[in-house]
Amino acid sequence: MRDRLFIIIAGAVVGLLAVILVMQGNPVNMGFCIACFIRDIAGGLGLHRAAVVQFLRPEIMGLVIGAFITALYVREFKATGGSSPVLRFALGMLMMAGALIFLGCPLRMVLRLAGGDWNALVALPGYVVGVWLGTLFLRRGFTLGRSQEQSPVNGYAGPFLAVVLIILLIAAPAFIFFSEEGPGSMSAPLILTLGAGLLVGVLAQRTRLCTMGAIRDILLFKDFHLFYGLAAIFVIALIGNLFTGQFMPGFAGQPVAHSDSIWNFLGMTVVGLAAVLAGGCPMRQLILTGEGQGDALITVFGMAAGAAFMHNFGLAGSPAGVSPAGQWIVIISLVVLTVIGFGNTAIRSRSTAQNSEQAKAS
Amino acid sequence: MAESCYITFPTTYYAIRAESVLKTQPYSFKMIPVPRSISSSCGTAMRCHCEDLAAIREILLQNSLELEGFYRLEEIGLRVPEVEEIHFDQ
Repeated sequence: MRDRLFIIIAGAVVGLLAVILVMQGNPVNMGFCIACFIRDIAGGLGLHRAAVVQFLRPEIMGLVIGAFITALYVREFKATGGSSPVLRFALGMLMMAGALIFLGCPLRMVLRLAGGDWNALVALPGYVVGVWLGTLFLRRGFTLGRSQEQSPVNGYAGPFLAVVLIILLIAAPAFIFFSEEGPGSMSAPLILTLGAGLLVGVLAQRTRLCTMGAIRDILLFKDFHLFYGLAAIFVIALIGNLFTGQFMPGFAGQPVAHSDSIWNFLGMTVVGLAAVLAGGCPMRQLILTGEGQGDALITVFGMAAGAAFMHNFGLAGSPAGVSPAGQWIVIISLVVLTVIGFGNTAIRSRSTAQNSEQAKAS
Repeated sequence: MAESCYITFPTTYYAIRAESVLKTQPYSFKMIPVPRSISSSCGTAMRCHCEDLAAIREILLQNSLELEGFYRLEEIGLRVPEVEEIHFDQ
């Protein structure tokens, strides 16, 4: 009861902040978009040269630091890592690849829906299908293996990098890129963006808000707990958009979006499947980074690398649609995810079989 | 006031297997996200009646499932639930 109330409040705050951030300058339907913002940060650091999406987005740093401070305060900070780092990096890359085909992480998909962008209505079932495919692997015994406790320094790395990024944003040295036009040039004032990130970081750490977990738990256990949070984001953002005149229903001409339905659908299928295998949606990975999980930080690095890859090779979707090369990336991503899924199920059952044989022998 | 007991698992895989093992048994249980007051991890837990806990644990262990922890939770309205970790002798 208490948990449910909290997650609804957290979702409502995220929805409300998203509307406020857009009113104050963020790109439309992009009050929060974890994938877009990590992509912008990768651009700001010069990892890719798409001139319209380069900005060190303070929301991301706020999320990590907010979760970090909260985790320290409630003694839930614990440095862990070592659970299939290479595969987690790859899953981060693939998650970003899918998100940049659709042009948004699952959180932005919900916000786009709340803004009347019906392309998100096509992407949502794609996401559910992706999560459903992921649960099939979970049922078969997919796991990336247990993480180990590490020295606290490992866990401080993520929050430390977040602080460095804030310093770079404020100091604005010449080697940091700032978009002069396009979505990367649009941002609410620093105090708002950083503050919103911090607040959502605190709330998401306390409630474990996760856009993937919301769907996964319904499919696996018919449990709607996390879904209430997701629904609250949607409802409050929708009401906010209606009140502020930001609700514009339709398929065509939506901001930072395209109407290639097949690729919107499949792009989010990639995100959903990758998120299940990685154990959390892009936002959840940031929160776990703040709690000291090195595995989540590696996934975030994978996302940044994925963004650089997608933009440097012109694979990301754009308002013009998805290029043939981008379409191939979706197919390749699904194949790679299937290989990762089966690969780690097989290893698991083999080693379990060995264990039980050893147990019998002894 | 409601009291219930919880079993947590090292990975979702074991939670799913626990569910399928117990389906054929006469105990009532529900799979839910680990209550916030037990852990911040986003795993899945099994909620059951406290009087069934020992028997359920026995069945799960017989089916060579890996279990993580056992907890008793007392929820009183909107107050922070009281959590007690339960230790079984090996």
